Amino acid sequence: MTTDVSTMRNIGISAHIDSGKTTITERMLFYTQKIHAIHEVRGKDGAGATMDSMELEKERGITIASASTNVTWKNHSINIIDTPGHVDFTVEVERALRVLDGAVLVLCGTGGVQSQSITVDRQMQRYKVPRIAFINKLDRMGADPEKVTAQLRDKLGHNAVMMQIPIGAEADFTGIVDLVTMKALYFDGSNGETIRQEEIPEELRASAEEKRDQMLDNVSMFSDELAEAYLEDSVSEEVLYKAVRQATISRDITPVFMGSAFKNKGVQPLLDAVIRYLPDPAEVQNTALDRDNNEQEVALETDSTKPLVMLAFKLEDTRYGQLTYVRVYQGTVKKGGEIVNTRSGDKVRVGRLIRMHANDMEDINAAKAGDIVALFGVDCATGDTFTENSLNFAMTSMHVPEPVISLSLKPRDNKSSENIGKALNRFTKEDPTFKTFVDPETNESIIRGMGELHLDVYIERMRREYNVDLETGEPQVAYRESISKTAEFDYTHKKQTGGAGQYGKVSGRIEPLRDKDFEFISEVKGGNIPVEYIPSCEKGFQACLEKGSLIGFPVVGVKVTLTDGNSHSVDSSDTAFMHAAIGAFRQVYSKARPVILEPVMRVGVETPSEFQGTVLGTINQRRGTIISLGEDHNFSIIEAEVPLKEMFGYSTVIRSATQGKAEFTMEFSKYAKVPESIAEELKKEYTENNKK
Amino acid sequence: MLREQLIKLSPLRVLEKSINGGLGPGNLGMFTARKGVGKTAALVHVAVDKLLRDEKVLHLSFADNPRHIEHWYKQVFNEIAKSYKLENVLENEQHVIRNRLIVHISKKNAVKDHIENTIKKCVEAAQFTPSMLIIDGFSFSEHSKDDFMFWKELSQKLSTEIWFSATLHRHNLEFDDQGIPSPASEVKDIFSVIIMLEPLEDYIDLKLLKDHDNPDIDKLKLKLNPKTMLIANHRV
Repeated sequence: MTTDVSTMRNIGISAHIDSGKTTITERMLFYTQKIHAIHEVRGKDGAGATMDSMELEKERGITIASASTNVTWKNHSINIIDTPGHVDFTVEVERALRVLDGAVLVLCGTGGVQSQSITVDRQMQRYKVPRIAFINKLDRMGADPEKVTAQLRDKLGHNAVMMQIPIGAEADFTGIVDLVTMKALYFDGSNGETIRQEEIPEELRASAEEKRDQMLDNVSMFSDELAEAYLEDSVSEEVLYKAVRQATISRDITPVFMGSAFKNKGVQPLLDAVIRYLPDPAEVQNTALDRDNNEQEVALETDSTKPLVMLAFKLEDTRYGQLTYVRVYQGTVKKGGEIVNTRSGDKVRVGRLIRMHANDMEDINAAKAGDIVALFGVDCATGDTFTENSLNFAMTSMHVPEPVISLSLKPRDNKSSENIGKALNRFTKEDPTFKTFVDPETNESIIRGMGELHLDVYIERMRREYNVDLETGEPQVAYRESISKTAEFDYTHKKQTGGAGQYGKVSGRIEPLRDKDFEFISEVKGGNIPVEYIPSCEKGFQACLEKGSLIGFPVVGVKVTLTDGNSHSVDSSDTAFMHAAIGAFRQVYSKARPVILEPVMRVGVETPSEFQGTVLGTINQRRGTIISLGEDHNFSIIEAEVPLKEMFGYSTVIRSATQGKAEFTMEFSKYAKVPESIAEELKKEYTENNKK
Repeated sequence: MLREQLIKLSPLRVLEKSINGGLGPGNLGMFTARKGVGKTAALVHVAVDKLLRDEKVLHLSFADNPRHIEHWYKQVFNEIAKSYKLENVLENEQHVIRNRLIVHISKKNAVKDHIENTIKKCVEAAQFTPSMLIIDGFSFSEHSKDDFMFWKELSQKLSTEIWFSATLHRHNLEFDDQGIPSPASEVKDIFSVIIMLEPLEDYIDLKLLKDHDNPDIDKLKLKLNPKTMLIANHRV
């Protein structure tokens, strides 16, 4: 196994539901000889694809948790992280993107760019990940790689460049033409393992020349060397590979490949493309924050001789203990070596160091900069950074969406109660968007997540993996409170009735704040409030935001400006000013016209046009706002905003309304004011519950 | 500032005064300019003004991805909210979103029957009856006078006003005797209001070229602020 960083690749395979990601990965494992038989995801042989390591995944035919595996292809070491496509699991995709250097965007040859592709692409853009595209399922009826390439341009704004064209279509799809070598490739053998190279079929020659010209035209915009060679009509494969690689890494182009993983066509050239066009770890700029230097950004070097910096990006609880997946950004991690968790300050000895296959492990002695491996027996949380003692760095935090829905759990017996705790402990460590707490009033465990499906899967896992017998309550929406106008406060906290007194006076205003939860500014002059007490004022205001007075949910979007105050030489203290701030907030809150906010989801529905009216009806009935209508052949694309509260059970509704032909995705969009009638109901409910 | 005050003070009141109280239902209006000058920004500002007044706007796009159009509305609304220190921003933003529907029709489906059916579906299935249509990406050079007559008839049928953006050619700009550039001049009889955006050194001037059947055309005294991309009063 080579350890030269230039021959390393860390890639993710991201895409829309059912576009064939897992099948592609299965083929990759087979062709790189990591597995000896191909098992279909929903195969007849009863054994699901190797990468789907959980029963539930095999049953539902979906990939839930990310799994990673290492393969070797033409002397290159490739770490492949498989990622799920459901919007409920965006943290999985986000996390994977954080540690990868490149990605393969898989698109279905018939469905093309769909709503989840847009979400996934947005994530890739956020982390500036270079990608290549693979248009899959070319054996299906209606598959059209040119149309999908056009969609990549129109819908995702990629500069998509076809690097291949298909030979045959649909049931007659037999191979591909490589536009770099200008050869036809066929995949022989019972599993397509033998690639046969032939001349391009005569009937495709003109089309191949045309597409090659387009490719050269496009890529030469980003390479002077290629442009010159193109003008002189002397483009060598070497120059072309170099130019495409450069332009892909700089994200100026997205090279497009194609095939049918299910029919064993096109995967080996895809592996070649991963090596040729996606960056090695040294070609990607990574930065960390220096905690000893005001969190200044520092560039990391993919150099195994430098001090160690690595990021724990996935945790998995196995029966042998916790498995921590790490990406080594700098330095080397050695078995038996000592590392420091820069968040907790804990020193840890590295026990077993593992290179991972989906379900098998390979013990190793060291992992160098650029690699992705796993550690055994290291207790930490996702997002923790490990270094050697000399550095106090933290990798920049990953963007993690806030949970929007919660559900209460009630175990039916004592054993279940114990097991729920174990299960929740594990799940929350693995998934930062899955949160849990115990309601002090009802003593119920509450779980919070990104959507119904997200929570459903964890409940099912608790039942199957932990033998938990439980009841679930009604899903609860995570409301918020906020203010809608500016209001002034002027409050004195005074307790001066003998003994140690308290005195603090604060005046200022609160006003609505957009795009942020809280801001505190002090404009106090002349020491009217001693500077040392200002932080306590801020603490006091912040404390009030935890639970609003309307319905007991957190208050967001508040800017507090402290303009003046007064203090007493003896009786003023941190406590006094904190209480003054609390009193001021309570006094002013109702004057600032507080409102109740509910989470609103961005819902995307793709439906055959014949059901458009029906689907629009289902949205209108749910206090939804239609944002846009689009069309794509016989499909209607509807984007809407719908309050989360109205979305419970929607998957059942849409299935029966469209004979199962429509698909929808849902992700959190924003918080919006609830209608008056609902606000009154919520306030009434809160008041009644408080009386009990 | 409250929404009601903002509406009163909006420079679009100046525009309305200058064009006989506004475009009016059953009429077509256009903003015309070279590419990239600010036609979409101007159109969207006109639309947002309507939306803030609780009227419904259907934005029909034959070009852009609908999400880019959403971004335009968000930008324009945010600029308005900032410039006028609008109160109840969240609520007002909801207003805008609720009253607006963006529909994307691919160029190849830009035929009369399909357009009319699509709008009909919006009215019936989406329960959305617009008082204004914004049409963008409908190429003036690729469509005939007949195609624009269709829009005129549609605006009368639906009793809505329809605003277009018309891109001027970069080269060979020809003006007719009323100072109306082509391709706008070819359909000027069908349009009631024609406004040209002319980039000057520090701002983009709004020039009223046609005001219904009024022979005396007012000087608009409006500009497009290139920083905020909002229509603003222009004091000379």
